[in-house]
Amino acid sequence: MKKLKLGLAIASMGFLAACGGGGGGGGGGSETPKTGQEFRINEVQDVTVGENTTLAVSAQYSVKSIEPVTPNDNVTLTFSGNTINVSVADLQNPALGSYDVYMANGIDTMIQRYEVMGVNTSAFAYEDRAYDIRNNFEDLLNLAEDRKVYQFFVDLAYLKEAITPAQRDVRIVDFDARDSAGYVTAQNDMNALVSVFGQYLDGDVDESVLAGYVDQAESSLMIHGGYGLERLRAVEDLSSAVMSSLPDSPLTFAEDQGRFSRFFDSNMIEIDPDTGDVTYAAGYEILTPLTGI
Amino acid sequence: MKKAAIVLALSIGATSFAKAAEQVTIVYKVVSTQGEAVQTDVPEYNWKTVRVDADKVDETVRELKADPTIGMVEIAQKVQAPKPVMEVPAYPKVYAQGVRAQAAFNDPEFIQQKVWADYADTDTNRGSLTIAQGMDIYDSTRRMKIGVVDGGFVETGDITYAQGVDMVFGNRADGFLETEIDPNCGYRHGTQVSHLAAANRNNGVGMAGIANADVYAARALDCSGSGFTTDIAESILWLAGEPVSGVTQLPEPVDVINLSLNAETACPFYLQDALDVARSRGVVIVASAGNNSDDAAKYYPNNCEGVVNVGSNRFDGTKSSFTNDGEEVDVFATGSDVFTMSGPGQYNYVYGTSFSSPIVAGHVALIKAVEPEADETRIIRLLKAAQRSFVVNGLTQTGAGIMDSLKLAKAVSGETYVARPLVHALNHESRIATEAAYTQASAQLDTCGLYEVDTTKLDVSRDAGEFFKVFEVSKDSDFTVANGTEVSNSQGSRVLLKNINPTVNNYGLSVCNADNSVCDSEIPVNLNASKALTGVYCAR
Repeated sequence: MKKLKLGLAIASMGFLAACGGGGGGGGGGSETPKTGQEFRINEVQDVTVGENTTLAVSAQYSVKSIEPVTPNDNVTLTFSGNTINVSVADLQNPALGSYDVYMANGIDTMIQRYEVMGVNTSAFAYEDRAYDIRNNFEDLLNLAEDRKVYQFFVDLAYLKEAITPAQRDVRIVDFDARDSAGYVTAQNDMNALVSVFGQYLDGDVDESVLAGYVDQAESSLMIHGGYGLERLRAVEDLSSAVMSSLPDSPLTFAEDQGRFSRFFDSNMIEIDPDTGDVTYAAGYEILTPLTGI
Repeated sequence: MKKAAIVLALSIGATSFAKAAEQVTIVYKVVSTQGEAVQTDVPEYNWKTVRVDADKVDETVRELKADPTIGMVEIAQKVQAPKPVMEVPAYPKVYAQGVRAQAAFNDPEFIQQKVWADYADTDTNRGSLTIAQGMDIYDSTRRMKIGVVDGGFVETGDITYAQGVDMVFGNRADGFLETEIDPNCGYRHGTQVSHLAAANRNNGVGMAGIANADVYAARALDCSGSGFTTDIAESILWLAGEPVSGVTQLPEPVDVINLSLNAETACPFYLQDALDVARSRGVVIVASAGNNSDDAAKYYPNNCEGVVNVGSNRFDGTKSSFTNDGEEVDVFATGSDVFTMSGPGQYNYVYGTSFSSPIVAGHVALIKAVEPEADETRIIRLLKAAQRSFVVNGLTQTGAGIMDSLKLAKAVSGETYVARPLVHALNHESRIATEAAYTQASAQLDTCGLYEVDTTKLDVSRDAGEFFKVFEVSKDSDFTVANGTEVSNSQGSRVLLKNINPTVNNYGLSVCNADNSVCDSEIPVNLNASKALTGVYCAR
């Protein structure tokens, strides 16, 4: 299933010169066929449309007819001349339908497959959270980003000879998310979400059900993330030389980054009003290569 | 390689051997006039020999023991090259497949050298050493020096003997060719061994050797393949560039010594001393594990310290029936049905660990061409990391496996660079992904000259209270702890080093107590610092 994203731009309809497959062929020789032939355009045209929206798409040739292949009840295609109007109704789930568009090219008929993605825009926020949890399940459960930052400060202190190699050995492994009291609950709630998210994408449950599971998993993850903050506090004796003290930022979903993190708290970042670029505020610059801002 | 310390025990009279003109060689260690062992910082060979008639042995030993300037006394043991299990004259053969690189060299018999073949790594061809593939990677431009302690050396037109000596039965003379010393002798063991390691390649003659190398021949075995451990010991000393009375001293040590010989006895103290001298000169010693279908630990030189021991496998990836085995064996290489050269235009298929050993010795020369500082610890680590385990009845066997030349080449060339224990700290694989975090200004870390030893990549362990210590030793001095300056220490798994200068110094690691009065070994583990040196992090 494709990921639904903001920006409902239609994929570019590039020049489709290549013809292949389909009909045609026939015997050799120089005899000119007296009737048209059908050619299938190999390139599939993707169209992404938000719910409750109609989008006009330019076809390469004059449209003769549209035949459903795997139609979706919430997707409607109409046409006039070279224009195809793709309409998506109010959605409770993502909608995907495929259609063959028949176009006239002289006496020949050109056929192109259209894949229409209807985006459930009202569920964006839940979908993004669910995608991040599903795709980064192990990293989130193990608080990998917190651990990466934690271990960096321990290792940096060792390289600067602020702690001994033996102290490094002890401290660098003193971060195990399984020690978190919220580990099991977070694991269970995240697993449940992943399962429901699959059902949602398949159209078996609607967005309200997804929202409930997302809220639950996010809440559990936030509690579980408290362990990461506690461990980061434990190395402030080492990190304070190069970074300001972390705010009490919980592990939450950073909308701009599209992922769960505690390192995009408003107290830590600056946003360029013109470009929208996000950078770390003074005192937190050292996090830049670690969080991939 | 034996790792435990030598057990101190006097072996006088254990197996007195009276032959060789009815004379016995007694070897004794010279100590101080106070009767205490000479304490030296550098490994030295303080042994002398005396040859007496068999009926004078006991009397002579008593006299030696009564002399306060003399310490241990031993009787020289007789040893011999492992008898080839079988030797088959080679007739022209055509291989339809397998010798991928047959066009790589113009040596006419190269096509017969199945040991070079690159078989697919299937269950039925697990014995491939992947030498031909490995040769595409090794840098063989540097001419190396391989010492061979053996007998039966003859000229073939396909090998370069740079120098040679005759050490048999107490002889000490320049010259080593069997055709000149014993013209009636048909023994060709040393010739067969030498060609596997160092036959000249691409010369339109004969076969191809593993390494681009000159051979330094020490004839220590007679026409029957027999010799004495005292002669072996002094042959090793000669190959290490040490002065040996009666023969022309080598200007510098060889890079590797091949010992395709064994005897069922404990490692003689004087032999261990000779080996230690060679090791301190940077020489790596490779030995055959023996052909007794027995535990190699019962045989010398396999039970000596600091020797790379090589067992034999068949082409099908099973162990040769004759090979010695056990914990002392470090690696296996093909020793069954091995094609080699015995004389001008004479070729044989031979069987024995004697022929596995030079294949590995040749590879050691290839490694040392790139890493001249590589000692046996580094060599064994590389060999073990590039082994293919034996599989019996579908079960992967523990212990030493078959050398994989291609994997070895990749490790040596740097393709699997992470194996090195000493690197710039930011080249450690644990930091590569986050290097930018360490180099940014806000980290306030001086990255120039910041090196680190990861001891988890070394075959050393540290007990509570001990330190990993890194010593800097001038290249003008012998590579020992005593000659070194402690530049860093750690009671953790890593040791930080700053501003190494491998151009003029060697760097080694030892496990020592706080004041260095006790270290595990007087020769530190060489850290091959020149491989770690980089100026990248100083230019920022």
